[in-house]
Amino acid sequence: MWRAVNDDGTLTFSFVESVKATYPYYVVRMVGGLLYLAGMVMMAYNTFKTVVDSKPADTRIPLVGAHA
Amino acid sequence: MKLTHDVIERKPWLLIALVLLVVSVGGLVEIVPLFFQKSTTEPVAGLTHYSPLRLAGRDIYVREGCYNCHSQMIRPFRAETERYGHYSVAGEFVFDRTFQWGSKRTGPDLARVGGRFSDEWHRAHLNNPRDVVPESDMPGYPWLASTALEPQSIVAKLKALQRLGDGYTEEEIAAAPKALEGKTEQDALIAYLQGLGIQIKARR
Repeated sequence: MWRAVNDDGTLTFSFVESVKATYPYYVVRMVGGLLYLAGMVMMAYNTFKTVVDSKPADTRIPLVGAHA
Repeated sequence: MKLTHDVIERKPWLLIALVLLVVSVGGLVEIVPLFFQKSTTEPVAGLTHYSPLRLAGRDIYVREGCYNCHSQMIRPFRAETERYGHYSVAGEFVFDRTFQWGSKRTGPDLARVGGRFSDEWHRAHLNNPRDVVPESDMPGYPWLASTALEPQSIVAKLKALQRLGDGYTEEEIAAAPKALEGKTEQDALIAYLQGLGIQIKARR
């Protein structure tokens, strides 16, 4: 589109026509960005829940390798 | 020790030293002559250093990040020269510190935008691009029209450029703040844009 020329050597498309042609791709790009953002929100929620629900573990760890 | 291929490849430090030597010699041979060539150091016919108003406009161009979407470099290809005009030459950028060549073209190249539209068109376009180009995705810059320039701030910039050899005279610098008085940032930016690339005219 950018380099397309007519038979007489003039350009087929003006610059703004090439801008117009990119709009569907910008929508796709926005969807991708929203997915990415959603992933970060989920990670933040996961981290938050992990911290909030955490309880200190007070369990004895059995010693291994000391058997006869 | 004979300097054979085998020996060089087995001694990494020797290899590094030799590579550095070769690359720096190659780089110097290619780059250094450009500092002394006429075609890269002499301005093209008709090009002078920036007027104070245009220099202020150029700083606004940089501040607003125009270069993020607009290049100022027309490559010597048919599609480019058909669209924008004569390809850019080095002599057009000798007063650009730093150059605004850019590489992203979300918007069109601006290297020869000077004189292509009227000042009034630029005013409307900078306030809201969609008023003149309905399909445009450029953001509006309405605050430029309502922000006045600070006339005194240009003096230090001119003095710095004078020291770099851009040929500003003392009288020019003394008169500079007056040229900026009562002007808005939009006026300065438009003055800058209207002078871009007008020295070389070759359009069909």
